[in-house]
Amino acid sequence: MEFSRLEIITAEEKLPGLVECLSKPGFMQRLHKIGVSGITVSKVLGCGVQMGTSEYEPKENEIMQLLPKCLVMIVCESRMIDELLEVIKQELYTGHIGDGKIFISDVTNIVRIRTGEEGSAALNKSAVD
Amino acid sequence: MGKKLGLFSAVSTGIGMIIATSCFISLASGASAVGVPFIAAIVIVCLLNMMAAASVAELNAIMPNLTGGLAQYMLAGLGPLVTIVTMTGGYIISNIFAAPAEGAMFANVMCEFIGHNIPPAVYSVSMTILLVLVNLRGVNMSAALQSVIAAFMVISLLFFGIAGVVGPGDGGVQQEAVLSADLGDILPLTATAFWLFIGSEFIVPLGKDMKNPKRNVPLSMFLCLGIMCVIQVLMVIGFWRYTPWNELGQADSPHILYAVNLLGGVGRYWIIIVAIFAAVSTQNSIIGCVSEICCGMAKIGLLPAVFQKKNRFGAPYVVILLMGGFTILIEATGLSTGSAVQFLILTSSLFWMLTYIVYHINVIVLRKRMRQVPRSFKTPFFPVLQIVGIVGTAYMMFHISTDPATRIRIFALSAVIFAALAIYAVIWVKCKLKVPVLKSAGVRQVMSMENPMYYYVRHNKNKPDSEKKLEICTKL
Repeated sequence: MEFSRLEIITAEEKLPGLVECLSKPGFMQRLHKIGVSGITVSKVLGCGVQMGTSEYEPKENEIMQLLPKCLVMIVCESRMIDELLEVIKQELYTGHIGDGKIFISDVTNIVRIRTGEEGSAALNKSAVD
Repeated sequence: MGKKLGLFSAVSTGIGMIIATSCFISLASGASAVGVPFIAAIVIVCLLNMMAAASVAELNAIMPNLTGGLAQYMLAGLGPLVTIVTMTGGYIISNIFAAPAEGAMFANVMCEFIGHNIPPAVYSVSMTILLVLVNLRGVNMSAALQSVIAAFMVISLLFFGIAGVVGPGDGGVQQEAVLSADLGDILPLTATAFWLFIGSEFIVPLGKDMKNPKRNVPLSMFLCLGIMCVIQVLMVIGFWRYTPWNELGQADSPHILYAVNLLGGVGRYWIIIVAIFAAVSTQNSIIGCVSEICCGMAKIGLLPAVFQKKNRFGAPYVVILLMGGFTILIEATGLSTGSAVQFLILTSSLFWMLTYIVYHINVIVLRKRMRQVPRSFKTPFFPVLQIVGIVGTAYMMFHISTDPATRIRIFALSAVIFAALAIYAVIWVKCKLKVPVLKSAGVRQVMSMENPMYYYVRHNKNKPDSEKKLEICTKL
């Protein structure tokens, strides 16, 4: 089974909306069904191609200005990726600079340390509990 | 900003804008011309306007929560010339005449209700002053007022419609249901029916104050158009059963005639109250929403910057006061009661139709230019609905009046207004904005214009960066 990792970097204030959107009953059930069982969120500092320049400023910063962002990591089965991407893109889209970026990469395996389960078993509730 | 508006308030605003006392006259005029088959024209126009609403909803999904969204969409897609001409003609000029017309109708109804001892202008001017004060208090208060009024109107009109359909029909009216089944007679009446469904897009500027706007903006537009369609269809059937077609076509207040035939004295007073609410609601929506649109246009440089000044309640008071001033001025002179204003309203509806066509073109342009942008609402069957919408609306424009002489006068006046607006737009864009008149601004630039600091930093270029940053931080 193939797995993918989504790393979403976006503005901090968008995090509650994103979590709420991913927590909708119907959507969460579908996520669970194919093995998405959680998300990991980190508070980070960073900037993109605008070097941290505010949208309204006419000149771009010459020195990088790091802005507070959040990094959300989700691992799921690769077949779910398109639906998940669509929902996340629509939720985070405002049309303004700072909506963020989504990085998608392959995950070769997942290991639950406590039970030693691997692959989708490590993503779902443990069978040994 | 206080409590966010829910779906009910959004639908109320849309219905409040759509229901106007002049709608009853359009409805009676169409129904008396062909009878019950006028329903076909109503349904066709409802569908066409739903297509326009879908295009507006998609534009809103690309550029959500913009203050004067309607203007900003056009600037991003089609450039400043088209934006100034269509927005100023389709919304500002048309509503400058629609607002006092509603005021005059309110005054006439009040005179019938209370008596003719007080001059009609006193009623209309008083109403406008009250609504200006309400709008100056900010959007939530006017939306709350709108919700109550709209709920009463919808329930009442649904009752009048249903009662007309299922009632005993003992009003002594025996008449043909179908006066003409010829498509050549029915289809041109779509232009008359158009007036019954305009205004649902006024929900869009409220998106920034709404709960879950991604869902509620398109949904509320479709809901209010659908609800209005049901009401109008029921009323036409009711007209057939209770009101002679020839009397209906000649009546100055066809809604009162129908209500009296249906329910007697009770119906008369009930429909008078509904008509008063409809006039109040429409003028309230016009003042509130047009001021938001003007504010948005000023924000993106298409109107003088003074229009975006807001009071402590967040209301764009300059535009509200100007709109109120124009309305009161016309109401006080009595011009709004004349047939000239009716003619101007028809002319204005031509511009409104043109605006809907421009929305469709804008969606087609932005689908091509920004194909991959995630949209929370996408018009299905693209570009079929846009093309059908353009063709259908163009057909209505060419049949704006069934009288050829009136049609030519409307076309001539529209051409003059169009030319005047185009000259203003070219001068403003060349001299003030200093950009090519047909070059679109691009979504990124339009979105950044939304930030009040966009203008601050550009108007204070000579200040040192450190001082500017300090002031920006203080303002933010």
